[in-house]
Amino acid sequence: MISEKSLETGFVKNLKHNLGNFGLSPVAIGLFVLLGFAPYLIGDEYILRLLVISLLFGTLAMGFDLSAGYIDVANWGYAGLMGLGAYTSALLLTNLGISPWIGTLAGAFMAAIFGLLIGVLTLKMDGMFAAILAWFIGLILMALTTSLTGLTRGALGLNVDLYFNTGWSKPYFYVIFVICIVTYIVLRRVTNSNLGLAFSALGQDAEAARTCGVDPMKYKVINFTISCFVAGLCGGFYAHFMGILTPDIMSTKHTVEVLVIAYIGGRRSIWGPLLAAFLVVPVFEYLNFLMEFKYVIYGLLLILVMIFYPGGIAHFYNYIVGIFNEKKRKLTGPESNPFA
Amino acid sequence: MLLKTEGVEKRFGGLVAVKDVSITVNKGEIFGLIGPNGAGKTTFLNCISGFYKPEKGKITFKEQEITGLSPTQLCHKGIARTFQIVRSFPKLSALDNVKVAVVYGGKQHKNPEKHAKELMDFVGFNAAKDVLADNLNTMQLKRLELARALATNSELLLLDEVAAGLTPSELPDFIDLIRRIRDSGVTIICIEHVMKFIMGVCDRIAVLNFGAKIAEGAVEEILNNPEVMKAYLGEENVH
Repeated sequence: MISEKSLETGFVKNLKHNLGNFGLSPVAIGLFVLLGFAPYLIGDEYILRLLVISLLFGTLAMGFDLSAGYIDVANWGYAGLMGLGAYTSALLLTNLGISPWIGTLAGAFMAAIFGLLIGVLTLKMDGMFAAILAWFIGLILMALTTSLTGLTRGALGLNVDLYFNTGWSKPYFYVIFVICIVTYIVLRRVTNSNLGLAFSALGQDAEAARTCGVDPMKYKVINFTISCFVAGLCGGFYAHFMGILTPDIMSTKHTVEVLVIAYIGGRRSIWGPLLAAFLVVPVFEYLNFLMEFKYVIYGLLLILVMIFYPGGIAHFYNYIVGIFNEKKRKLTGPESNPFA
Repeated sequence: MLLKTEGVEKRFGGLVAVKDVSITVNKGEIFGLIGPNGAGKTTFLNCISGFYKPEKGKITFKEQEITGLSPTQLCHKGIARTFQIVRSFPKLSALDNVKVAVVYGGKQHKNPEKHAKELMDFVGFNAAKDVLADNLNTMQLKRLELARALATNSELLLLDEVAAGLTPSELPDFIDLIRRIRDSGVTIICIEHVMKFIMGVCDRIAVLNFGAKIAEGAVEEILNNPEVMKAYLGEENVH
């Protein structure tokens, strides 16, 4: 006879397993639901706007983490690709009158195509060289945007129509909220799949991965392309959220912003960078009075994290979980002891 | 005949690391590759496994020329290898380390996880399978690497000093494992310094010295060869 209770735990276990396939834990769902109600709970427009920006940077950082954390290529041209997505969507709207929703997707695909090309060009090389080449391409994109004044108005800035007829943050919050959740689920799914296994193997020991039959170019390029797609998608949102674009959004300092968030969050976790965005973005928003000195602090913070805790928040969490698991192992006996 | 090399030569700048080496390895044998330090054994192995492209010569595997193919392509053709200094994916669990090779090794498996676990049991991997490779000791890593190499459905396994660093008490067990791998239908080429290992498992051996092959044949015959004595046994510390 099966008691009702065990049936229920069976169901809960099953549900948990299915959610796990999407990279969602009960805690993650709880936080997402809570976040979903935020516009109703928070009346302050300023704080809501801050949440939108946090979500934007969180999503960017997740995309960045896909290549920095998994295949060990820090894409220094990331902001350039985000800008490419932003300008693509903005120009499609201003010149051809294409809906910003379609434009945002077009921008994402544009960035992905560029990512593919950059990947094919650079990923034959080791992480460091690929990073530097991607950086140069980001700089070229920025220089082009600045100099093609006929198209982009250069440094004068391009006025872009918003998604909605309002400047209030609430509808924009839900747009980026959906983008963020979809990105989160897709990236978690990808990284938990066999594809993620190939990414990790290549990032941790490319030679061993090759002897295991993993084609290095193929999987690195797939990874890089997905990562750039996310950058382009966020760029499109940025354009129709801010309402004005200058070539400045492609500058390296924005890559560094994303990089700092991703590294503080912890590489190779996807969720870490998202969480870190909600900690880092508000703090730096309050430091805005420092103007450009803000980026000095970013740089210093990055150096400190890299030296003293390169694993970031995600590593800290895994460490705590590891201690608990170890205790459980000790309780269940030596059979499951890893060092028996 | 499973693998045949003809006049393989590999240079680094002016240095000829491997010079005109021809060997023939038959199906189902354990072929030893010995020689003093710096004789070019690992370089030669790297040529076979696709990490180096030889300047001259021809390598044939199962009657098919494979010279210059990439490690990935060779893996799919059925050649696997281990490394002199053990390589693993440190931030992946032991199971995932093997699973990578099962999934990408070239043959579809219905349940990659199960197959990986079976292989880990076969090589006698004794730690918990969900432990990060980072936390394993050398002995466990060596077994893990063997499981990973076997997971690619290899017909030819290239072992670069697998017995190095093992304690004398671990050695018999390991020799037994290598024999069991051969009995499962895998041909093996191994580079080795540990004499006990060579005497224990090898069917035939070839000796390299200064990049050139100076002898090839059955173990006893080679160890009594005066030229080999001069080049290798006379100067090296033999176990």
